[in-house]
Amino acid sequence: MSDKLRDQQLFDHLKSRYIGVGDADTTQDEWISNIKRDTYSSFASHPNLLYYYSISTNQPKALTQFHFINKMIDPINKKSENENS
Amino acid sequence: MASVVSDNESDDDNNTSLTSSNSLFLYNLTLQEPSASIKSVHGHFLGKKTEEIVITTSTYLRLYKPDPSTGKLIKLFSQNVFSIIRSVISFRITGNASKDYLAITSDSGNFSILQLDDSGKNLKFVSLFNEPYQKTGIRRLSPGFVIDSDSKGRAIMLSSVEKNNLLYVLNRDHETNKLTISSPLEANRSMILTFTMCGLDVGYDNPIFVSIEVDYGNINNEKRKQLTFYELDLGLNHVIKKSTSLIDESSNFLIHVPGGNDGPSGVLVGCKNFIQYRNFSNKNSKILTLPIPRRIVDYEDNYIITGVVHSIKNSFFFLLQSNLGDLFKVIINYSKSLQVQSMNIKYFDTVPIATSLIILKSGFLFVDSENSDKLFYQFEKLGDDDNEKVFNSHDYFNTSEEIDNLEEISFKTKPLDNLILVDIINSINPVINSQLISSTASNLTELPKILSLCGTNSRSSLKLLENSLTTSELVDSELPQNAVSIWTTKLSSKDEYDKYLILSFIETTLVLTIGENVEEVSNSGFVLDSPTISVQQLGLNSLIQIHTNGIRHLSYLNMDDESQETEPKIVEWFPPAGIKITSAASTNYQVAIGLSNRDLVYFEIDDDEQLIEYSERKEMPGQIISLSLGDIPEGKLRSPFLAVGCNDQTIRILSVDPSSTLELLSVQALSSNASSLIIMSMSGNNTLYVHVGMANGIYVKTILDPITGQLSDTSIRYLGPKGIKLSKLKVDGKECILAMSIKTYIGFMVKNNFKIIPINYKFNLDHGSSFVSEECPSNGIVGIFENNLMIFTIERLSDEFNIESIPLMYTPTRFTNFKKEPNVFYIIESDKNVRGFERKLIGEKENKGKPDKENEYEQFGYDRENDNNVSCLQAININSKELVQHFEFLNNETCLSLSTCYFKEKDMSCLIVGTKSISKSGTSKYYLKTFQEIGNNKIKYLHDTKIDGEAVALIEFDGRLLVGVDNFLRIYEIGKKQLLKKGECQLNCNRIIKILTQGYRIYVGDIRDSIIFVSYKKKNNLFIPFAEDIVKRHTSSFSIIDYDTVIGGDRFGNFWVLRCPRKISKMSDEDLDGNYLMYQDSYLGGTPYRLELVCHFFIEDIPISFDKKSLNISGLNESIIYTGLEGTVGVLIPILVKSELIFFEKLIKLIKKMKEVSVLGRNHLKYRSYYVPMRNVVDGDLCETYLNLTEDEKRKIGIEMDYTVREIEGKIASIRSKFGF
Repeated sequence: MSDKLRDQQLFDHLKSRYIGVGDADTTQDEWISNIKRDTYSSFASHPNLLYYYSISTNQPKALTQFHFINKMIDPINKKSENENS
Repeated sequence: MASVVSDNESDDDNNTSLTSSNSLFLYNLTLQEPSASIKSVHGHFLGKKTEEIVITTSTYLRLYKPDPSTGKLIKLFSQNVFSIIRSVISFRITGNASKDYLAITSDSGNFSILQLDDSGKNLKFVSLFNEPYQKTGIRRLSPGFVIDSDSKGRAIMLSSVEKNNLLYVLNRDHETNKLTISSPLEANRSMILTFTMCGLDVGYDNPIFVSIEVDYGNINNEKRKQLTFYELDLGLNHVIKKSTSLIDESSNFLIHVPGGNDGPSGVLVGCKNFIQYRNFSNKNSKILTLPIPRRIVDYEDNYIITGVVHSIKNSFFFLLQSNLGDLFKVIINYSKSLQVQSMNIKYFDTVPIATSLIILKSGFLFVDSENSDKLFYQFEKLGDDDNEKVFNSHDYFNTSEEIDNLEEISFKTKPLDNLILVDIINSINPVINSQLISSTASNLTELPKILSLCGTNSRSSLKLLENSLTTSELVDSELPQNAVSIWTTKLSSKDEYDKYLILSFIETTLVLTIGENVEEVSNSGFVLDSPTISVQQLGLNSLIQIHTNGIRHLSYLNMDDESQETEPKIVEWFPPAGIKITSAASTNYQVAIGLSNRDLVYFEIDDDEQLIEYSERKEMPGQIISLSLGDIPEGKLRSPFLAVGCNDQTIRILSVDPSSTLELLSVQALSSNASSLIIMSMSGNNTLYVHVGMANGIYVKTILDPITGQLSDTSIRYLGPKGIKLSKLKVDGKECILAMSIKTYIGFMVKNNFKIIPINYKFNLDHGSSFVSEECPSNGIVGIFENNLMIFTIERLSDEFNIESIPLMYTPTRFTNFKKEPNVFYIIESDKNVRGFERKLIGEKENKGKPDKENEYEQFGYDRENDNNVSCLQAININSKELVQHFEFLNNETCLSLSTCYFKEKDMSCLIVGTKSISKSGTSKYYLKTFQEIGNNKIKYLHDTKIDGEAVALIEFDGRLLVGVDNFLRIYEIGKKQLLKKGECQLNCNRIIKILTQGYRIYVGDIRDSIIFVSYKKKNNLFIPFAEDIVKRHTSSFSIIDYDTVIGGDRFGNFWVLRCPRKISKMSDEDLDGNYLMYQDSYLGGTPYRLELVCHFFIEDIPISFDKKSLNISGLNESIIYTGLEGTVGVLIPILVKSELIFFEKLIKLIKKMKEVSVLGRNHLKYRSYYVPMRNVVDGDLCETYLNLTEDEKRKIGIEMDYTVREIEGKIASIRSKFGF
């Protein structure tokens, strides 16, 4: 029994420490938000991808980066959903 | 068909050819490094008074030294870091004010501090610290997204995109005076996103860092963006969150305000349409707000994207750049007690959008532009006394919402007023599309060219890259008849500049003086009625002219009297009657001539500068064609060697040492007669070389042993089908060799690596020689071509690519040409969010070129308008560099694709453009626009075909048009009113972005489903996809290597080679009606078969094009040339022999063992395998770092490899030169 408890504690510790660690109760929204945040941060911080997007959207790299991080705040548009309901 | 060597067969013989085995090995070499920069920083890295600029691209560090007297930027070196740089700053620690350091974060997961090492022969950055703090790779949680130092260099803070912040405390060790670094202090906060961060200037108080953050935990809270101040308590050695204050949701930019004794401290926050001054609480808590002035015509939102603060004598100003490229000057007014009072802003000038701005103390502004050439400006004034409207913070409240009348805060753009452009660093980034044009057999003087679509918006262009040196012309004049040779000479060895220019014609000689004017000299004393073979300045004050009938010795004894008109004293030497002089060589002390009776005559001068003939003449076994005496070694009187080229296809080395005069030392047989010879050593290395130019156009460089006179280590290069003439030259202070064949080449050493590069000049010289005069003190060449005499200079040796540029209208996307008219290129160009011009509709009337305000648009860009797209089709002749035709598309259209197509049935040559048009209501319509070729390089608009999706890929196929619409493949035939659909197939993929064909096989590249091989069965009009990839690659571009193999790149910066197994390929072709293939079982929901991965490699840059062609002038030795979005030009060379592969793999292993490959501590194998493990590719860039090792390290590797250092260097150089560079 104590092993299980310790495992659980260890897991909770890891979960609080590392973003994105999931468990059986992770909702779809949480999971998707996490993936999207990872993706946007990758776009914002890999120089080649950032350059690629800044050319295709016709705006400076600095602004492209700014918009990507802005999207990380609420990647699945939860806020507008809450307002609608 | 060649048999496949199975893996079981062990090959003991290392010379086994790899071509018969099933695998492909490539050698990746970067020819031009990427030029899209991350950031530029400046500092005193050399530890001298001058400032240097470091331009960092994602994988390279480049150091430039500005020359304040000429305003030029001189490139000192560039260094591959084999790692992806994320952020970089320069800093200096307190107390130790001699040198600046670089702090870099990269994908290595290390925090690196670099120092410039100028102790060795080559400058380089070396790492002082590589402190690991995180996993490798660029991750959301790894700090290093932004990095900044305290203004006094006491601490550096690293922020990640989310949560983590690290602080390193920097100190100076008092005993050793070296930099020390603490273990990191954490300042982590969960659910916090960091936008940007900067260190405040607080003088010698505790260091404070400020960042723009968002707490995403509470999503219902409206105001979430905050400015957080972190304070590092130096006494307690920990970090505290000092304060937070809410700021506008649109804040995106921070720049520190000078503090301590120099200013009020604090920070400027850039937001949408306004700027705020902020400081942490208590002191100077006042908030000042300024609007960002707007262009009169442009009411779109403005942001600050970059900026710089510059202090001059107790005052400072900011230059901030908006997202349109406008520079604004901001001044903060404060009281003597350092209390802020108000802020001013005014329009300064407009420059291209930059990643960073640098102001140098010497009065220059470096604009590290994002999408075009990097520009170097000089400040003419600081905008203090112009009539530009000044906006003061007194007039504005906290936010911009109060500003109703936009016209009130508008300004008018103006041409450069405060700045003057002084230098340009050519950059080709972004490369949006590109293609290699090989030299054709019919026209060998044309070098292979890389044609690239570069740049964005109004600064976009079509660039022609050629591996040649840029020249600038000084004089071009005509001569009375065709000249044969040309020399320049001084009159006295003390002269600084050349005095005479001697031209030899077929039967006569002409002497000109070099001065303010180039004039003929009447009393030169030269023999004018016979052609000259050579001219040499001899001893102190003498000159000899060797002509076909003798030697004339001219002494200028009265030179000191400034009476240049004095006639020289003449002494003559004649060969025996009936004998002519055929060739000659000379140094300041010696003369050797070859006579037509095969005798070799040798002279030296005595104390009175008289020529004394050596008692013996030596008869050579053949007619003497060429002679060369080497440079006189330092401290010696004479050159010890004489090289003799005879018409029995040999060169002989004779000794001219007094103890063994004219003794034969060695003989070398050649493949042809040596038409020209030069013995010289090249800068950067003391080895003596014999340079041989042969009559069959082959150039040979071979090493001459300085003691025994033996020849060894020959390297060969074919320069063109014409005999080669050689001449000595000095460029950029380096000894160079000028080789004249069908093209003119310059050979020189770069870091022990010999390069021979053609020059880009309108004429190919018949003969040329170096030219030094008062007006042209260095790099000058005087040359002749038929009856033209020209003087020009070589710009610089460091730029190996000559770039020519043709301006375009909008951001170009694709280009193509008709086979009949290969010089006329059709280019589609589109821009987003740009206001259109009042133009006629396509087809009705053609418009030419940019609008009247062409220059204005180039500087300021087009007016913006959200959701409005503009596009056009331009035809440009790349030979005359003229615009042939221009079609503007007006219905809010974007051009997506372009292809020429020859419709076989109707015998019509057409150009098809795929477009997308968005109506006001937001619905999209898609078209294929057809233009018909009407001859005379013109096309005319024919008709539109409405389709149901974006046609991104078009290609001519089987006399019809093949279109990729989303995931459909369709065949169209031309009709009278529109294109007619003839066949269709839906593929199991997302969106087709490129189609290539060979025979009846179609290769389909998908935006995220890699490559699919499709077989077309004409009999049944069937498309059968039969092989696809295992991994879903995000294809950016691909090209066919052979029928079964494709090479492609993805947007993450990899390239890969995929191959269809031979058995399956054969089967797909043998099955003529497709009945067998059609009913194969699908495998895992896809096609029945899979492609094999042959090669994989990470290059960081996004591959844009691949061309399997030759870079050689001879058209031999094909390789794969690729270009990348960030401006990389690279070559993939097939490794054909197993021993070569083993050699390079072993070399790489030993280089890695010798020292850390990456200065940032990135594991090389992990770097090249960033996404997928690298496979079958040898990193040539790493192999070439061998050339930069110290002699000791080189020798150690050589011993382990069982090769001499010279052999290893030779192998590295030969694989490069064999394939073109």
